[in-house]
Amino acid sequence: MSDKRKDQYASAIFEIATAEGNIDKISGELYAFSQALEKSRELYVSLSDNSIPFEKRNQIVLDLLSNKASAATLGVIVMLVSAGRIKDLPDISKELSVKVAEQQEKEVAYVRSAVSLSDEQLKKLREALNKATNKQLDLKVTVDEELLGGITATIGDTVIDGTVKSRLQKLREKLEAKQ
Amino acid sequence: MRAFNAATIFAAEAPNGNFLPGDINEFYWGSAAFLVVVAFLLWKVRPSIVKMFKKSNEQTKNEVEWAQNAADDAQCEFSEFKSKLGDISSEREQILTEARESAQNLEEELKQKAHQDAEEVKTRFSHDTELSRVQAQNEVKQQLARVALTAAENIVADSLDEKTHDQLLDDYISSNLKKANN
Repeated sequence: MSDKRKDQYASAIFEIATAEGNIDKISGELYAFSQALEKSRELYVSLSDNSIPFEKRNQIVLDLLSNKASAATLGVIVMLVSAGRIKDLPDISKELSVKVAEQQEKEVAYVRSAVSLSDEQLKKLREALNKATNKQLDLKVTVDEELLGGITATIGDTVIDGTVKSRLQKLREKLEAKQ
Repeated sequence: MRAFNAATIFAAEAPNGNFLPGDINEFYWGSAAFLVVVAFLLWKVRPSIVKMFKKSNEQTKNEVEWAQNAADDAQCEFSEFKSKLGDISSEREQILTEARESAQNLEEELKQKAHQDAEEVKTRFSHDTELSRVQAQNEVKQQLARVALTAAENIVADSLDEKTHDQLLDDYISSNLKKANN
């Protein structure tokens, strides 16, 4: 899918979410589902394979999200599956997050954490990153166990890395550089 | 004397008692005839014989002269040949000397080349050996680093409990706050 079309999808979803008056929730749910889609190869293949009947793919989405996501989010995902665009959800979701953040005069910070964060931790983290970057940030958090521990945040071109994995990587580079 | 005595005896024994046998007139006529023959021969044959001798003499003289000339030529050629032989000998010596010098130079060049090649091979071998040693060392170090890092990752992953995760998050937040304050 071209960037223009992704942007058009993101704009349409943004309009729907705005009309629903639940833009943060819909945007957050779509982002969370896109992360799940990126992590699970099986889910990605099942939903993006057009040879599987639409009803079956639709049922998978309903089974996964019917009690966890809002009706608007569910409707958007079902629409993307039926249009054969579900594989573009990660990009559309990011574009939507940017639009939402822009509307709120914020910037999106993509946070990856080794463990899930509590609301209080999220609040502290948001405040700290807001102060560090001198911007109002909308955090999009993903749990990534491969980081081993710690957090990394990407705001635009800036990466603030505090993960155990990156520290070990630096240690490896130092060891190899000494040779 | 003995011959005179023998002739006297021979004459005494002859039928006419003379020294010459037979009639004395025969002797005169015979002698006259002989003289006539001799005179005839001297008159007719002698010039031819003299001419023949002269011719023969001339021919012999020419032949002697030719032989003399041939001998002189031969002598000249011999001298020339000898001289050439001398030149050849000297040239041969020169060629031999040059050949010896060339051979010595070639030998020196070959020795130097062999020495240089040996040095190059030695240097290359030494360089390759050093390179291999460094590579092996680096590979071992990288391997050790990988093993150490993998072990460290495993240890860290096992030792990271909820409290440590919270601590890491707090460190991250405080580090960002410090940056903001600075």
